[in-house]
Amino acid sequence: MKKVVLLFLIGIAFNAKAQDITQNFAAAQQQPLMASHSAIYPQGAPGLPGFKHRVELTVFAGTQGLGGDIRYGFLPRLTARIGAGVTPVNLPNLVQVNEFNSQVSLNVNFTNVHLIADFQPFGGSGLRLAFGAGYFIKGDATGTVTPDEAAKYGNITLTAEQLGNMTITSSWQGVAPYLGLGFFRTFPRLFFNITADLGTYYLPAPQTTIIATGALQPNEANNDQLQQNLSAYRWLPVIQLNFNFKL
Amino acid sequence: MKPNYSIFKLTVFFILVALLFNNCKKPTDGITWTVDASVFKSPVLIQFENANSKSTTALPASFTVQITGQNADQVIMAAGGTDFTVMNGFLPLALVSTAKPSASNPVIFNVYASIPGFAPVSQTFSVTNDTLPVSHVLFAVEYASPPDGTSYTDQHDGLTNGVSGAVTISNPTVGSMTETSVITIPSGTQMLDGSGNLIPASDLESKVIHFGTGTQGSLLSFPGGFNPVDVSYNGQALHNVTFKTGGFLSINMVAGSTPVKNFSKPITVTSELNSSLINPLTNQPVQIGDSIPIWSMNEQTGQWKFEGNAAVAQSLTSTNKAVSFQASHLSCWNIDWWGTPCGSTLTVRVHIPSPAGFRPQYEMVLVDANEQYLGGLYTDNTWGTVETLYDGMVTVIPTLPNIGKVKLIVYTRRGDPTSKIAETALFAPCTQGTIDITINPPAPPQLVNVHLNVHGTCTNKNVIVNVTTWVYLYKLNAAWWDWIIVPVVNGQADLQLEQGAKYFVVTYYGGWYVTEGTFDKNNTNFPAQNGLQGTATYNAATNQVTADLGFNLTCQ
Repeated sequence: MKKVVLLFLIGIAFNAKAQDITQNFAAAQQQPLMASHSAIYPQGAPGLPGFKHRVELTVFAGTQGLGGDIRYGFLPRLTARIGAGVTPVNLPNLVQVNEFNSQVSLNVNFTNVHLIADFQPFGGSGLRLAFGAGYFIKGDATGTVTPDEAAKYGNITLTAEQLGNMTITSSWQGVAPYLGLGFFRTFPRLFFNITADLGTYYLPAPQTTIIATGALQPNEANNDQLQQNLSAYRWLPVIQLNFNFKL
Repeated sequence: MKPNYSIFKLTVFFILVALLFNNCKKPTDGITWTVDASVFKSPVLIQFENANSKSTTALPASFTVQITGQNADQVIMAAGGTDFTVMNGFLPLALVSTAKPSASNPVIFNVYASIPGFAPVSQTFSVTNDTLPVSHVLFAVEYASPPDGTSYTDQHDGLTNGVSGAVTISNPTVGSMTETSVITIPSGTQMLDGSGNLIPASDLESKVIHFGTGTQGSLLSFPGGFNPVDVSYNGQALHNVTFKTGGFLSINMVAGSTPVKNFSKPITVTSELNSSLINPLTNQPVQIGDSIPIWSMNEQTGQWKFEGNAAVAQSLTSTNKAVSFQASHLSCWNIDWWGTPCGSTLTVRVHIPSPAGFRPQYEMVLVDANEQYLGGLYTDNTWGTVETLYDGMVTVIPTLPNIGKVKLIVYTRRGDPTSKIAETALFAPCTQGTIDITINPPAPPQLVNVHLNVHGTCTNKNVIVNVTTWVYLYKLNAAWWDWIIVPVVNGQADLQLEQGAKYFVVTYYGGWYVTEGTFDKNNTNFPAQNGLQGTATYNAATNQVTADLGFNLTCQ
């Protein structure tokens, strides 16, 4: 049973890991800096020659799921992106639990809209400090344990039907601040580039529920303990690859 | 290089923060998964006791019983399995999950026990409710020490190749037993086994217990109870009958080592009647010329069979009246008026004005005008013995004998007529409908509310099993009546115990588990004596002690 709970949390955290580390096509296309503002506005500033408010469309994949952003350049070192991500992950029979011979399904269903600002402190290095917030319209992680064999307790045998089933849900719905780092330069020089993000949302305190049927019904009383245990599980790491298209 | 170094540090920092905060506590810390193992229906606890509470002879620590009757296949041990073994006097039974007992379609089975040194015990049960726990005491009559109000004779006579000479077996008066009985075996009678074959033995041992009607101790041992559910009357099967007894005899004979079940010639049984016996048909003391039905019982199936009527006559040896009848086979022979129960029920409203919240375990019985025991407070169609009573309690007696006048009496101690604490006026049971009874108990000891959590702990899994069973609590160094039995359903039970008193706590779940401890306003450990252990914690706000008691269980 411990594995079930851990796995659906891991599912949240790493459901699309292995992103990041890409090439920045734009990095190979350095452009000359403005002589008088090179330290602060490497690409010029509003009202100065050479600056223009750029826009890109991003499709991303990562631990906050699949989604898209629209990024807008306010200043040469300050941009903002607004977008949404969804994480529909269903993992049937990934694990077995020790307590019951059972089928276990894990389902993660996160949907967020977010607004994040990116600031480039080191000019042309491509490193961005990202901060903002997301609103998790859905933030549910659900594990369902369905015994599929009889279990024997002393001389009493309970059929799988008599055992019933148990569904554990944790919901992080609500507003979540975001802080992170961005890698590689935004806004493709040509048509397309790839960037990466590494950061974390600080989710609302989760609300947990345990719904159980049959002989497992008393486990609903474990909900308070489960919610207390999960109260610190509020960091949602974001590891994400962004596929950016110049508009 | 410097920017790259900063990026590396920041990256590591974020990962560490995320992992650190997400793993400071495991999601399953402090959680034990629980299973309700209540898959069976209708818990029925049968407690075997020596009918003579003053006897120092204990029942064997374990013995097996036979479950027979029309629905025997629906009976199972409460902890599973069909090894019907009584341990330390307790036989916790239940019905299989597919059973569907109801008032119109009761589940009927019989429990039969042959216990060395005791008369055979037989009781038929009719279960009409699929959830209500029912406890019942079966009284085993010890040959060497039968209860007051009975007499016992053990006699040896010679046989010639299984053929008897003229034999007379007499049961005398003794103590409160004022009725005698005489059994005569005519000369030339062959002793036959259950198949009707001659038993070629040279010795006949006869054990005869005569149960009088003058004491509750005797009547509590009445085999099968006074509301039999399996009766054959002139070939007609009856399932709802009430008996008003004039006495009964348990006759067991062994030729050599073979039980005698039949005779080639009928034997004659003469039984005196108690001088206070009331004929329920006339509501007057029994008169010469009255007719009383005679019944025999197949102890192994629990079925009663009508054998004929006997006329009341004057005893030849005392001022008592007597009946005589002939018996061609052996079993229990019973002198009983019978009738169809009232079609109505009786609602009993219990009042205990003070102290508030007091829930004593007293005996409430139904008696006739002569205070002859007719039965205990029903919890089902069976007869309970001791019930937990409380102010405001409303209970329904579903089956009532259709006789003229009865009343309810409450005793503080089962079977002890000196402990009467409350009674109603006489009333007509079939038309009364509702009756109130008020009990004014003596000041009880300081009590504490107790909530029990009883569970089995899987030794190989992080699972506890809420069991459905019974818990028996016996106060150390107390009188024999100072015990409580409570049903535990899905591991839960509530009761009141004497604050500060030390109790043995016993439960049975495929094994026998014991601990002892004190229920008071301190947190207490209950160390394992025989596999049962736990803790008790006191909550001042609710004035309740919660005791978590567990035993190890093998789970697969």
